[in-house]
Amino acid sequence: MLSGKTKADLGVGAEASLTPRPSAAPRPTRPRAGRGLGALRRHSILFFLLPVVLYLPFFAYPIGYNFLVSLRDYTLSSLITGEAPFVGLRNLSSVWHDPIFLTALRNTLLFTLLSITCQYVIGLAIAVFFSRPFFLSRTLRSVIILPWLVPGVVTTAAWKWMFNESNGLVNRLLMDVGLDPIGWFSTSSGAFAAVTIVNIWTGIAFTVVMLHSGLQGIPADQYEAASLDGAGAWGRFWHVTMPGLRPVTGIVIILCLIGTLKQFDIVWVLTRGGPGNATQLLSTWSYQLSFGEQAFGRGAAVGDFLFALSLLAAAVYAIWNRRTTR
Amino acid sequence: MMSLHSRVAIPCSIAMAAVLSLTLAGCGGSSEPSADSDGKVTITVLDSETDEPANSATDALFAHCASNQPGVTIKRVTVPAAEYITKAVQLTASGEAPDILDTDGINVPTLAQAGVLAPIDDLVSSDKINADDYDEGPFSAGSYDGHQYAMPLGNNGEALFYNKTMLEDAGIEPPKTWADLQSAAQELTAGGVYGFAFSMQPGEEATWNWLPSLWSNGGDLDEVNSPEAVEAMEYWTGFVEDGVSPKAQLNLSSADIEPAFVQGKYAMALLGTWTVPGLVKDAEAAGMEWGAVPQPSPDGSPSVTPFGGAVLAVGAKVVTDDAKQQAVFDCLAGLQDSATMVEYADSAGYIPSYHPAATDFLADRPQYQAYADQFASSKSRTGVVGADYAKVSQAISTAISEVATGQKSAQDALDTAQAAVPAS
Repeated sequence: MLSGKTKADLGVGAEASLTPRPSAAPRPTRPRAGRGLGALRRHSILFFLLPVVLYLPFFAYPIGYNFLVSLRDYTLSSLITGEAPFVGLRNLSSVWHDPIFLTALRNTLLFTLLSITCQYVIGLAIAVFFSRPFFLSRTLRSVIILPWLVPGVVTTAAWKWMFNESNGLVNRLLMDVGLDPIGWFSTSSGAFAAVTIVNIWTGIAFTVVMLHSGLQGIPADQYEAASLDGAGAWGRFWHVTMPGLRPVTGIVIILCLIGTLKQFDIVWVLTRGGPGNATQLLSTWSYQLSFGEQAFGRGAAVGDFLFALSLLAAAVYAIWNRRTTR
Repeated sequence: MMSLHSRVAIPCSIAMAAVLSLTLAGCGGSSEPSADSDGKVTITVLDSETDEPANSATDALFAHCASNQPGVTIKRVTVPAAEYITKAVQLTASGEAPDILDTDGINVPTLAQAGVLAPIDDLVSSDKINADDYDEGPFSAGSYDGHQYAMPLGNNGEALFYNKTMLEDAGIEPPKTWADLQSAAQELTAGGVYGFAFSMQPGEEATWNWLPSLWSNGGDLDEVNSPEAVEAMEYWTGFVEDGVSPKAQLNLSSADIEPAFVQGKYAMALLGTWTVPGLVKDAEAAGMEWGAVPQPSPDGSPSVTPFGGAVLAVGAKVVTDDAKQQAVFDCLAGLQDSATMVEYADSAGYIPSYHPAATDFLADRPQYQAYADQFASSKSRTGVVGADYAKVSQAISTAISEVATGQKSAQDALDTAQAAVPAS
């Protein structure tokens, strides 16, 4: 993880502290300095490994356990007797061949794609808007973070009222501007739009905070230089802001992606996966199988697929990150 | 109150795995003797009455056990309804098994199959608890696989409520048959008012509201794609297709429908027992007059409705300890007292299951009469499919919304749902 530059810095520091400094003393030879540096580097690597070692059990154990459960016919009585017959890949295959699987997978992917795209674009627009100080800009900026601080169940319950078809705020506004009211929860597409909108709204606060701090990190002189070179507002945005935000963008997208893949409470409170599986996600389906039907093995199998999806997303990010930082 | 409540729990199978691992880690706990030398017994009650006033009502109910028997102490453990089964199993696995399980009747087969419950056949045959004191439907909800596991505590159900003024103005009698209800709903739908509203919210509530149509039409849960079932589904979703029921009810609960019914947005509505205290209060404030009748059936004969409500079951370990078994059985038998049951039902939102108490209860509370009229012909939801009910119910709920939103025909949707029904 140490870049070339920090290695050099460390080397200097190590040399300075290890070597007595009489001016007449001969310069330490390279090999000796190398040995000292090597030992230090070895120890510091161990030090960096420590959090990983401490963290691993909490991270790997539940996932590993989930996988083991998905290989067994795990029912309620298994909890008492401890007996859960090994069924190999039967749960995974039964879930894979279930007609709900394709629906849930398609919904999960579409929900995630729409959510992160809109969260990023809208979040970026708001962050750029607030990057220049104006009257009340600080206050407004903190107001934007509010949705992030309120528990998801609470904000979702409020949204459920606003989306109410006969007397909700959203349909009232639509009718005021002369549009037809939308069947938010009584049509498949309406319900899907509703859960996606609420998820986007909830996530925007996070992207604004992250992108705003990213914007603070772009030196002002780059903008000045770009202006001197004749770049307009768009030019400065594309050639200074966007490249400057690249590291933050990566982390924002991966965190939003993982957050959305495992999104559960918004959908559960708004639609419970309905009407007719129209908003069923892998997460809600897994919950329903495990805790609604006590089919723990199959619920865990859906969890495996969800985990594989997150892993795939993380791998794509890691590769992208390595390419762009090189 | 019952299984129809939307409660949100921590998601995802990873959390589940954590739960499972904790449970396994807790395995092998030893059973402690319940009665110490001076004969004191602690009875642990596991319930899901998290909300007031049902929570206090439950406290008061079990306080009778303590006051009836010297030396008995009650310890309550209350968990959200959605986590009830998992928690009951967990506690049993970890050696802290509850002694009395105060739970929704539909959980009985699942809990019995998992080995959490002990049969109370002896208690029933000893006449301390007498089946004749209860309606058949509610009592059978406590049985599974030829054994009695629970006694019914409080009943609930859904009845047809109507706006008196609207029906009188239109010269319509309260509906008794399917055809009556269809034509009344058609006529009453006008000027922003829907004729008939009922919950189709995904989950147990949608299924439970449809079951009277299925059963009264001669169908049952062993064959949910039978011609009778398809006809019942077309009848039920037809209200939405014809525009006489609001589409919004696809995501409304009975508790959401009650206020709009009082405001005059719906001329008729299917409302649960638990909404009645609110309805009485709201209607009085709004000066609205209402009436209630049992649910209509195809030909006007008594509709076959699902029994809903709470039962009291006994934990599996209780029977291994004589002192505790005595205390628990005496506690249950002692609760069969009219004053105790009326007091409990009144604030917990049920109608007493115990007949003498129900008679006293209804004498002062005519608003519940329509429900009570249905109990004699009510049926247990778990009678045919047992512990698989949750799975079948989910499949039916999905089918209802698929048909109501026009994604599938009634036949197609129920053919899919049939896959969830265990082969007999």
